Amino acid sequence: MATLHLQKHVDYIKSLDKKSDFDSLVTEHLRMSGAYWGLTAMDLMGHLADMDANEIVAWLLKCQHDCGGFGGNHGHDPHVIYTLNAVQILALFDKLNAVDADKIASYIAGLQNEDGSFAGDEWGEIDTRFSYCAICCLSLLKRLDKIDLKKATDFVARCKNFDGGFGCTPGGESHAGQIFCCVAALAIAGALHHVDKDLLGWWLCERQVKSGGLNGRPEKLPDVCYSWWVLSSLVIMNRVHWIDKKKLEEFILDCQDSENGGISDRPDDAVDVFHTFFGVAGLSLLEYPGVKAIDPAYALPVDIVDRIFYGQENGFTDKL
Amino acid sequence: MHGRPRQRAAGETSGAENDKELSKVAELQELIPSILHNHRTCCYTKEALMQNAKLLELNPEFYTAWNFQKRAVQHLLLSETDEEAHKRIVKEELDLVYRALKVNHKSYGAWHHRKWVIALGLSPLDSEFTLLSKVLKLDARNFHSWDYRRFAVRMKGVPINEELQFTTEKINENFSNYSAWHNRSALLSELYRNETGGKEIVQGRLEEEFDLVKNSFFTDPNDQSAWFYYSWLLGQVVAPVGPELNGTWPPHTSELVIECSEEPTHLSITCTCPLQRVTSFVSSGVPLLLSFTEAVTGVNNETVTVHSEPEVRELSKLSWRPVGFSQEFSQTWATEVRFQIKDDKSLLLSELTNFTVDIVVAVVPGIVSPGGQPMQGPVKCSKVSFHFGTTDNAAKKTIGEELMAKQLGAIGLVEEETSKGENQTQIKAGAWQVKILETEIESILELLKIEPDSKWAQLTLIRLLTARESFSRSRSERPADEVEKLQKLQGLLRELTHIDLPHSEYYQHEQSLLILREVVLDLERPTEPQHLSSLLNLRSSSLYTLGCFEHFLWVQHLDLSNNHLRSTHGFEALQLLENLNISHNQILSFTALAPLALLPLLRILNISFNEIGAHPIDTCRVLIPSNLSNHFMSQVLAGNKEVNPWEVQLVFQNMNLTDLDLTGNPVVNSSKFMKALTAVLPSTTLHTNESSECK
Repeated sequence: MATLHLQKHVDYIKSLDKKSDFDSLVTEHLRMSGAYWGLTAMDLMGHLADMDANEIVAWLLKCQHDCGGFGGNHGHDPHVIYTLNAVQILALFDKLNAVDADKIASYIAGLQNEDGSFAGDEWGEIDTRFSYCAICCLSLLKRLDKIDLKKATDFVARCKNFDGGFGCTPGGESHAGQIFCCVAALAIAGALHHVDKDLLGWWLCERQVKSGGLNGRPEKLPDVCYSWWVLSSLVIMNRVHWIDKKKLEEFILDCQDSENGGISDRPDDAVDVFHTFFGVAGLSLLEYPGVKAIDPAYALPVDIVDRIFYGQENGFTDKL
Repeated sequence: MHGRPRQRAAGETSGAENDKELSKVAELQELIPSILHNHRTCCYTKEALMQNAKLLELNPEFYTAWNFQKRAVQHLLLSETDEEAHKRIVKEELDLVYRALKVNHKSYGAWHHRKWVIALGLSPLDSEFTLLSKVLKLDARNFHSWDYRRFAVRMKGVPINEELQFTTEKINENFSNYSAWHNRSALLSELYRNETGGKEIVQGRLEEEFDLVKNSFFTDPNDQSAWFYYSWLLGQVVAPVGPELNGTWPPHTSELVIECSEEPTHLSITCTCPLQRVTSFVSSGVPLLLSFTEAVTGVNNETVTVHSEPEVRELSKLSWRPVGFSQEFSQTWATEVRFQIKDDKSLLLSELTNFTVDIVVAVVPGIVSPGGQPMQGPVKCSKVSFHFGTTDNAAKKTIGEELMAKQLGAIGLVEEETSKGENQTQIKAGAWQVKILETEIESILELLKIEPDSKWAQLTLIRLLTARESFSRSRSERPADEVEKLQKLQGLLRELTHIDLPHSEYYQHEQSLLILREVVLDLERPTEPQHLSSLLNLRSSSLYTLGCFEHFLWVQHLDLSNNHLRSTHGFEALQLLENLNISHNQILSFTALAPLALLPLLRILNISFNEIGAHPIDTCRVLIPSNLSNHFMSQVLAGNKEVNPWEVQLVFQNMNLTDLDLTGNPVVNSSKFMKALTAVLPSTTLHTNESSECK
């Protein structure tokens, strides 16, 4: 029975910052996301203190534009995805005071369209991923009143499909990643009545394949990242027991690089920080010992979310 | 990185591969700073554009480079006036996107850039369909390509039927194309919405769909695609189109006796209803409850009319509220009839002191589901008699006895006289549905002969049989036969649990709903008067979930001990509940009890021997929306005392419990939680160990 190589993953994430190989160059435009994945994974594993908060926050602030939005890296254009990631990182370090919340909120509010949907940036790409980013980010900033929340959730509801899942835009095919975005956005907005929990729960639990891993759509290969997208959606709907949790845990552990650290999409594939985070986050939702609890909607450790909303530092069991 | 093999050591990569990667690294290191510089300085020279194109071919996900490209196109289009030049600029853009898609056909940035360019309206749409047939041939499941196809179809105005034909072709190429099945469901839904030729045309189409999809799973019974589509088709046949009223309290034909209680501001209410269950409680007003088949909004004085004889003005001004966490949608809606209590303890309503009121709650259209579906079906009503004023004990007894003697057959709601005609057509529609169900049951049984272990076929059979039962119910079947059929269905579900063990909890959830249907049938049988009480005993009933709430609105005492429940989701409908025993279940957290905070009469709560405090992940935490978006939550947290942990405050602050039994939950060992509980529930007796339970 495999176990979690926690220290190896911690070392792997720490090593990423110094790399300048092909992989880090082709992902340079989304370094903000990379930082969020790596730092949240570190926090879930109890090693956030190993990272230099001041240095990271100083870099992060350089990625903010005059409009209030953040780019994926210094010199890159602002986008709602990286704006959410920046706010999530600030939340991790308890540094939300370092930014002007109203300014960020007005950037995001400016991206909402008449039909309630959100553009990712000034170029108008529309996707329910951006609805999630907007709603999650404004909620963390306590500025949900800056948008038309009813229209926002109604748009998400319009993306609901015949299988109970959700797509990028109305008519778009259901996809577990998209389902997380929509279900979590509706959860944060208090509009879960738009979700057909039994139908969607059934579709999601059928994402589990023989190996124990989860896929994102019918007849597709399993992938560690769905341990987060599928699992978090099931947790939000209180239906996580509809899958075989033990087998999924084994699948995630099988995807670890037990020599050099990191987690990959499938066993024996190349690791990256994206899958390392989603693997650790999946294990957190599976209550793997030694991994902190994560909030299924905000995708941040539970203690961070409780600190923001309730001024209470500890997660449920830590409070005991 | 998806699907790339792990290289144990750098040495394992071949020399050539290594060289190739090194040269790309060098190229990227040179390109990136110069492109970001050009972007910043708005430099759109030929050189700059070439560099940018090179970067996008190396990495189509570099979103800022697409933004640069768009600015450059805007700049170039403005600087040229010639139409041909414009077309050439656009053509070059589309070629660049094409090259980028060849590198990564799942690049969000590339596909969006193509849409942006096409939306300029300077290029023919036909070539987009040529591109699409190419990419969908390479990967028939690429959701970006399908998304782009829907965009191109909209731009060109392709008729729905033509696009439907395209999905048929794709499905015929490969049955396992879930993307095509999905698109088909969306197209057909649109077609039905616009269909003006009557029900028969839609029904005929649905029958054709059944043939297509059956063909598919008879070919490969293990492919999920067709089964999900089939499940949706079945829903199209049997599911009601919109929400319906499925229960009220007080129930139809019930008689209420209302008096002043010992508490001077409260009423003592006794309700005798057609199931001959006597409900008695003390409340500040008489609650009226409406239950719907799904969450609805729009319940108000205009959509719900309350007639009374003689006319009571107050009853036409009742204000309805959703029972739940949403301020907008709920499956249960409530209001209260308030009486004026005079010094001599007599009651007054609308200047009248002594009379009987017949209330008709008629639900008319205007009420809609979250999906915007309006309420369907005939207008329904519930007639209730109120007795108050001089009614003495003898009179009360007579009312109760008279009702019991009636042995009323009428259960539930009645349809208003005027809508009888409509009902006739509904029965006819039911005949078509039963015909389809019979045919489909036969087909699936045939498949099961060849594939006895197909979980998909087995589950589908159960769903078909369940649907047939619902339809035959209205055809006045003997209850004993119904129970037998329900038990047979449960047997099939048990078999399924063995075939497909990893999903056993899902099947047990389905099983619970069947068990509850049996309970409901049992409740509808005439019973000896001495067995009638407002207690519902469901202990040790193998329940993984609770449902059928519309049948349990009268329940005051509920025993759910020794089941497998994980939350109290939906319990808010049980507005009369006073005593709940949910001990020995699988409740994981306090937030799982949040719906109980909405029960005004709840006094005794037994949650002993659950798992509260044993789990780091709280699966009910998000079911209660965060305080920013939720009125209820902000009200609770705005309370004068800040209680840590917040879960305790959220759930218990507004409860009026006399007894709370927490024995056997790990949380009792936490002094922090117990301190918070004592602070929030100062006048509640807390039971935290077995000896106290024994008393």
